[in-house]
Amino acid sequence: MEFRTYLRHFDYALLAAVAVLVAYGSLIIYSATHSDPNLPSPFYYVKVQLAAASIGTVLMAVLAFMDFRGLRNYRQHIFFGIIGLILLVFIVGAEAKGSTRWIPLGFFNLQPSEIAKVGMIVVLAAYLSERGRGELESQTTLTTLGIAAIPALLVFIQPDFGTALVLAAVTMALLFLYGTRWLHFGVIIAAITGSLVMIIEVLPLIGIQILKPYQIDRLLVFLHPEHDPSGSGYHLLQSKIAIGSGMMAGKGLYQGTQTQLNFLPEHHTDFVFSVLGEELGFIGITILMALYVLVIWRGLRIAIISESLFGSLIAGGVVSMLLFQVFVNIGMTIGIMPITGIPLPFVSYGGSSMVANLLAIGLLESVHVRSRLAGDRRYRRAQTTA
Amino acid sequence: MGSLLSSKPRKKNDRQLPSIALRAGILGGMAVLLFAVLIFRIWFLQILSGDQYVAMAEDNRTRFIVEEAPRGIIYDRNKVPLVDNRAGLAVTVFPPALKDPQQELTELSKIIQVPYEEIQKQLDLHKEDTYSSVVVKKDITPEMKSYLIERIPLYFPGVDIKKFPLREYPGATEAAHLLGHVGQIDEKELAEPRYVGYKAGDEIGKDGVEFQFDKYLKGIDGGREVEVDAAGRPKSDIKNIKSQPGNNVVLSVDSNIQKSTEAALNWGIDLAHQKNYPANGGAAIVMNPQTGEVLAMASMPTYDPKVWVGGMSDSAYQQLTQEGSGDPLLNRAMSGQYPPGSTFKVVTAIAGLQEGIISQLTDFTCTGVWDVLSQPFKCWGTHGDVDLKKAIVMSCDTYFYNVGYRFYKANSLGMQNWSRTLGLGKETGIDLPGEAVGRIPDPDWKARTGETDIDKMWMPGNSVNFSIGQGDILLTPLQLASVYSTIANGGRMVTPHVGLRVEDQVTGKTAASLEPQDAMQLPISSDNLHAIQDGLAGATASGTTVGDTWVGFNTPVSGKTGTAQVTGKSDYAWYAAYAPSNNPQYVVVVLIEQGGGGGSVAAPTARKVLEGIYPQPSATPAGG
Repeated sequence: MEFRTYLRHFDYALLAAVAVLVAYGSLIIYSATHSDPNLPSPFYYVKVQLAAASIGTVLMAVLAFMDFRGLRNYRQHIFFGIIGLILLVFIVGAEAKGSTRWIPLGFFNLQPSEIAKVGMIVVLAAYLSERGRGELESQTTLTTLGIAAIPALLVFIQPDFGTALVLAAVTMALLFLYGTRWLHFGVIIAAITGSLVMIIEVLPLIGIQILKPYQIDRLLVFLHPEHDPSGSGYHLLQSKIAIGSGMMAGKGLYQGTQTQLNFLPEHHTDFVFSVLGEELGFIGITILMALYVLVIWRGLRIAIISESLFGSLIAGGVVSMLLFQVFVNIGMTIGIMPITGIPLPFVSYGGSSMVANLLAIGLLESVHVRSRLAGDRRYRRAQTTA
Repeated sequence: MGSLLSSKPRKKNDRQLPSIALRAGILGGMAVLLFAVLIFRIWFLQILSGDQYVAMAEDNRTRFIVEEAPRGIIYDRNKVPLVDNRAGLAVTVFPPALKDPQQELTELSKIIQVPYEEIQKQLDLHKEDTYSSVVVKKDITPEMKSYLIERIPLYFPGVDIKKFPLREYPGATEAAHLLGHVGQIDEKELAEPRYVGYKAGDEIGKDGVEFQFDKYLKGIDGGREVEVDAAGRPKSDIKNIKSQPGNNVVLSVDSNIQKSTEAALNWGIDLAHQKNYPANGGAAIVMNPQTGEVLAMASMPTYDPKVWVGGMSDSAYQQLTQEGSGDPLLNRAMSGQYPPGSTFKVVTAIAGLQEGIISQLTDFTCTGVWDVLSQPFKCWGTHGDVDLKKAIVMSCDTYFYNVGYRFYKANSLGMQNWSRTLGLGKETGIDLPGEAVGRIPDPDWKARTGETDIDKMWMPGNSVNFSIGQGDILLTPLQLASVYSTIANGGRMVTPHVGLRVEDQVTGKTAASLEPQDAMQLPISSDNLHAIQDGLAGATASGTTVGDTWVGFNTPVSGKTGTAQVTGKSDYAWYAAYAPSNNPQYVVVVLIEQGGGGGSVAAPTARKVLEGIYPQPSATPAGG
C-alpha cells in the first residue's frame, strides 16, 4: 500500500489536538520549573519532556503504520512482557516517595506500569474480540477479570494505586463496550466496593495493612481536608488556592505565586493542572478541556467507525483510559477525587506516561487508517459493480 | 493462563456489531457528564469563590516581620546609662508556613529549650494575626543560631531568626529595684486601659522606672512585609517601615552615689552579721530634701535584672520568690513597711508643739521607767530632767511617753493627724509603682480590725507606744525620708521622684519634663522646726545614741537613730539623717531588718553612705 494513502487516512484532528496538548503542557512545565535554582538549565524538564514526546511520536508513527490487527497474534507476548517488566521493577526498581515504580535505564527511568495500561488494552481487546458475543458470558467476564487482575495486583503492590485504578477502569470500560450483561456489572461493582471498604476500613482494624497508611490518608483526605495527618490536606488546600486564585484570566504565565513560590506541591507532575489554573485561569482551563474533548470525541468516533470489534475495543479502551486519567487527575486537584498520583495525559511531566499515551494515540490512528482503507475498498467495490 | 488467553473462539465474529455504536455513545455521554462535573467545580472555585482564594494566596505569600523598636535608654542624672540596649536574636514562627506543626514545634522546643506548651501559648496569643510571625524565644545563643540556620530550610519551614533588641544593664545589679525590668505583655495587661494600642507580644516595663515611664521608653515598632516561598524564606521586600526607637529617660539618680550607697548598705548588713544579728535585708535612700529628687535607692537582697532578658523560666522565677529566698524582688526602700522606732519621735515632737500639748521648754523627769499606767514603760537610759532638745538628742523615751499620754488624756488624735499631714499612712507619690502606704493606727482602725473587745479599744498604752514609733505603726523608709526632708527644708512637703526629663533618642532634645509640681508648705511654725532641727543636730554629737559615729566627719550632719522592737524578731535598725545641717542637700535613711541597734549598725551605715558623697580623709567610722 502506498505511503501517501496512509498519510491521507490519518486522523489529523486527533493528531493536532494531541500535539497542542503536548506543547501546552510543555509550556506549563516550563513555567512551573524554570526558576528552580537546582536545575542545570531552566529548560531541563521541558527538554526531557519533549525528548520523551519525540520518542513517543516515532513509536506512535510505527504503530499507526502497522496493521493493528497483527497485534492480536502477539497478545501473549505483550501480556507476559508487561508482567515481566513489572516484576523486574521489584528486582532492580528505583524507589521514590515510598514506592518502587521505575526501572533505571541510565538515561531514562522506565515506568512499566504506564506501558502496562496501553498493553493491557490490546491484550484484553484481543481476548474479548475473539469471544463469541452472547455465549458463555460468565466465563468471558471472569476470564477478562482474571487477566486484568494480574498486572493490576502487581502494580498495586509496588504500590501504585493509581495505575491499578486505571487498569480497573479500562477493564470495566472494555467489558461494557463488549456488551457484558448488566448483572455482571452489578456484581463486579459490589465486589470492588466491598473490597475497598475491607482494605481501607475493616482490615486495618484487625492489623492487616494492605495499603500503606500514607496511601489511605491520601485516598481519604479529599473527604476530610481538615484532617491532615501527613500533609495531604495541605497539598490539596494549596492546589485549591492555586486554581481558585487564578479566577477568569489567571495571574499570567510565570506569575502564579502558589507555583513560583513552591506552595503548590509536585507542580510539574501530579498537580500541573493547578499551575495551569493559577496562571492561565478559567480560560486556560477551558482551552485544555476543549482539547481533551476533541481527543475523546475523535477516539469514540474511531471506535464507532472501526471495521472490527478488536479495533472498536482498542479505541474504546484508549478513550476510557484517557478520560479516566483526565477526570481523576483534575478531580484530585480540585478536591473531588482522591489523591492517587495519576498523571494528566500529555501534560504532566513524565517520560513513560508520555510515551505510553502516544502509543495509545498510535493505536487509535492505526484503527482509523484501517477503517478508512476498508471504506476505500468498499467504495471501489461499489464503483466496479456499478 | 496461556490457555485462557488463547482460548479458541467458537465463532469467528470480526464484524462490526451495531450495539458498539450505542455503547460508545453511552461512553461519550459519560465523558460529557464527567467534564461537566469538572467544569462546574472549577467554575465554582475560580469564578464564584475566586476572591476568597486570591486572599488565601496573598496570605500564603506575604508575611510581616515585625522590627521591634529599641526602648529608650535610661540615664542617671549625669547621662551615665543605667539601662541600655544590645542587639539580640529571636526565633520566630509563622504558623501558616508550618508543614507539620506538632512535629516541627516539638523538635524546635528541644533546640531552643522552651517547653512545647509555652510555644503553643505564644502562638495562641497571636491567633488573630495570621499575617505576622510570632516570637517564641528571645536571646538565643550563637550556637543555637548556627544550629537552627542550617536546619530551617529542610526541617523547619515557617521558623525564622531575626534581630531583636534586648535590655542590657551596664551596672549589673545596680539599682535593680528602682529600674525594674521588661517582659512580654500578658493577656490581662492587654485588656487594661493603660495598654490601649499595645499588641500581643509587646515588651513592656513590668516594674520600676521601666513600668512607670513605659509610654516614653517604648518606641514604635516597624517591620518588613516580605514575599516568602513555601519554606518561609523571604524572597523580596514588599514594603519596609522603619521602627522608631523609644525616648530616653534621664533620672535624678546619681550612679556614683547609688553604687556607694549599695556598697554601704551591704557593709552595714555585714556589720550586723558580725554582731550576730540575722540582718536578712535592708534599704537605703539618698534624697535631695529641697527637691525630692532621689539620688540613690538601694534594697538588699537584690537580684540581677539580666534574668528577665529574653524571658525568664518558671524555675528561675521560683528561685527568686520561693520561701527562704529572702524576697529579693521586694523593693524594701518603698514597698517594705516597718515600725519606725525612735526615728518617729520627731513627728511626735512636731505634733506636741503644734497642738500645744508641750512647749519647747516643757520638761519631764526620766527615771529609767515610766510607770503612770499599770504596765511600766522602760526608757533605754536614765536621763533626769529632759526638755525637748535633750529628749531628741538623747532619744529619751520617757519624755515622749509623757507627750503621748498627754495626747491620750486630751482625747486628741494630734499625733495621728500630724503623721498624716507629714505624709505618713499614704503614698508619697513617688513616680515608681508598688509603693506601700504604711499604717497610722488610731481608734477607728482599732475598732475596725481588733479581734477581741479589748483589741477594739484604743488604750492609753497605744498612745504611749505610738509616741516612740512602736506598736502598730508602720512606715516605709521612703516615707521617713520624706518626713526628714520636710524637717530639713523648713517645712515644705516635696514629692520624692526619680524622673527628671524625657529626651528624644534621635535629637537628644528634652521632650517632656518629669519633675513634680511645686512642693507644699506645711503649717509648722519655723520656731518649732528650728527646735527639732537643733535636737537632730545635737543628736550626732559624741556621747549620744550614735556614739562616735560622726566623729571626724568633715560635714555637719543631723540625724536620729531608731531601734524598733518587733515581737519575735531582732530589733530593726534605723537611721535618718541630713547633711549639711545648716543647708541640707542630702537626706539619708538607712534601715537594716533585724540588724540590731540604730546607733550601732544603721548610723555607721549612714556615715558610709555620706562618705560616698563627702569623701573623708580617713574613712573609718567607729561603730558606736
